[in-house]
Amino acid sequence: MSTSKYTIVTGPIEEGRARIGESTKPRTGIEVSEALIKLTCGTVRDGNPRYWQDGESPPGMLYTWLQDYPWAPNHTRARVLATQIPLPGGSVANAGQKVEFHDTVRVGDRLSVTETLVSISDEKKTPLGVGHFVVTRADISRVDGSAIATVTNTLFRYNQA
Amino acid sequence: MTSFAIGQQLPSLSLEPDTMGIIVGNVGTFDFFPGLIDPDFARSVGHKSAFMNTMVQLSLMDRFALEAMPEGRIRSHELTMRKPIYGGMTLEVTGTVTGSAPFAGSKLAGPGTEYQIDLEIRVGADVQTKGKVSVVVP
Repeated sequence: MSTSKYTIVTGPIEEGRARIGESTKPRTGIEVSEALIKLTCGTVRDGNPRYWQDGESPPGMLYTWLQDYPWAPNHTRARVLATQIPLPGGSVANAGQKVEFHDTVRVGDRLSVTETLVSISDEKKTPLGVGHFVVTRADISRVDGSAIATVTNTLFRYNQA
Repeated sequence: MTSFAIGQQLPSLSLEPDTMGIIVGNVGTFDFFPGLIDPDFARSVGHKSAFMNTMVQLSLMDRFALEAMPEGRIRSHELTMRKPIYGGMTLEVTGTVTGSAPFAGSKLAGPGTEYQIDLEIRVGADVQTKGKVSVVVP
């Protein structure tokens, strides 16, 4: 097992598949921020007053609130589970995501996530390269435990052809 | 109460992000993976440049759905990204109502009708992303 430049853990697929079913400890993300909501809505030209006036987060930004600061004092940056599973592919591209919402996220909320490794595909060849599709499930709540969403994500771990 | 018919096409929308717009969107969603914010790095891993991330694409899909159904709430959404989206592309989002069912109500949304929308983000004739959005309309 080794770690590439951007902290993607690489290794043989057998090591990765041995971790199917593994779950992470809960981790919290950044505070839900009005400024980031407006910045993102601006890039897709979404003028919905819920986001500009009422303090709601766009549903599509859910994972924003689970991201981590690139640097903060006395802090080790959290990593997405699918990048920490040993696999041959040292590059990543997200391939798909399905989200079921249970509640609305609002400015000031703080979210928490637990990720579980669901499956790793056989080797696939795509225009980007050769690799494996890694499926993870994320159970997302507020830090008080109230449910927000359930996410199934598919990440492609590849090496250029 | 507004209702929508199965098979009804919803108004399309278009977006023409440049590379800076792609990068700003990715940073706005706090996504600092190098391929999303560094065109040189993106090229080194097989891309043409920095590309639009999942969250921004979902936000574009949500905009499409809620502009057609402004009283609605997104109950679920999903996407499959088939081809990357780069700056300089002219994106067109199109979609059709493909299903409806009564919705009893939840913490997310009151009772109403849940509509399924199948949509695509296209560049010309090419489908970059296929998606589904479920919207509860009171």
